[in-house]
Amino acid sequence: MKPTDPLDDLLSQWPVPQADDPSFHREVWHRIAAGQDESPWAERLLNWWFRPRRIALSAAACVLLGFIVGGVAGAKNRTQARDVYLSSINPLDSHHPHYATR
Amino acid sequence: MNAASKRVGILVLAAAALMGLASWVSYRAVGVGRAAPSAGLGLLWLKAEYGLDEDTFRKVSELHAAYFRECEQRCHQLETLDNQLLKDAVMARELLPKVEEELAKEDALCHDCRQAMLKHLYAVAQLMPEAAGQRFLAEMTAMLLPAAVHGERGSLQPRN
Repeated sequence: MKPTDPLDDLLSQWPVPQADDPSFHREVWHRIAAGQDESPWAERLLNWWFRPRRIALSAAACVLLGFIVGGVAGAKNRTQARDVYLSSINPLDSHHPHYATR
Repeated sequence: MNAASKRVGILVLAAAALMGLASWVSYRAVGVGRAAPSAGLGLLWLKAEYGLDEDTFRKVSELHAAYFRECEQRCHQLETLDNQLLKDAVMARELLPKVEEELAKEDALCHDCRQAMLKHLYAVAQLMPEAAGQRFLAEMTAMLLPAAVHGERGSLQPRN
């Protein structure tokens, strides 16, 4: 059997004063919440954003967007290059290099 | 600069780097790149589209340059004819035999141009691997022959 700790008796006799104001706890939490609201919006946004899942999704979105932009630009470049070739060999094309001299 | 701003900056930079990298990879895969002074953009397209190796590409480029020199000569002849035709056609009040003769000469020269273009296409196709050459001819003739007849070009529509 565990011997009785004299500190236990002492603690059991210690009166804990109740807060005068019954809304003390609620106000404390309210002030904490108000303090949080005062943080900059960018920080709040970052705190929301800096989660592994959200960061991974954002990275995937960036890669996808990059692929789309690069693909569109590449397709445009290819079409332009094809038109240049066709014009260069078609003597009756209005964009043929010598057409303007006629 | 506070910690939040630094984090935003890092995020923006990382996003830009990711997008830039993905964009570059995609552009390289789809596009034909930028033309060097020694090779035109059109020839780069030919190389990329039909998968020409360096040796074939060099031969095709030489052929292209030779074709272009001949083309230039015919263009000058056509220019001379056109000038004369315009001058005579404006002066005449009706279709004179002289104007008719000049029109016929111009048609003949245009015919020569188209013939030379076709010959060039066949020569280029012969330099390519067989499958690529056949595809090249099918696509080019579909694009260029109606264009030569109507004087305008539609979009590329490969026919199976």
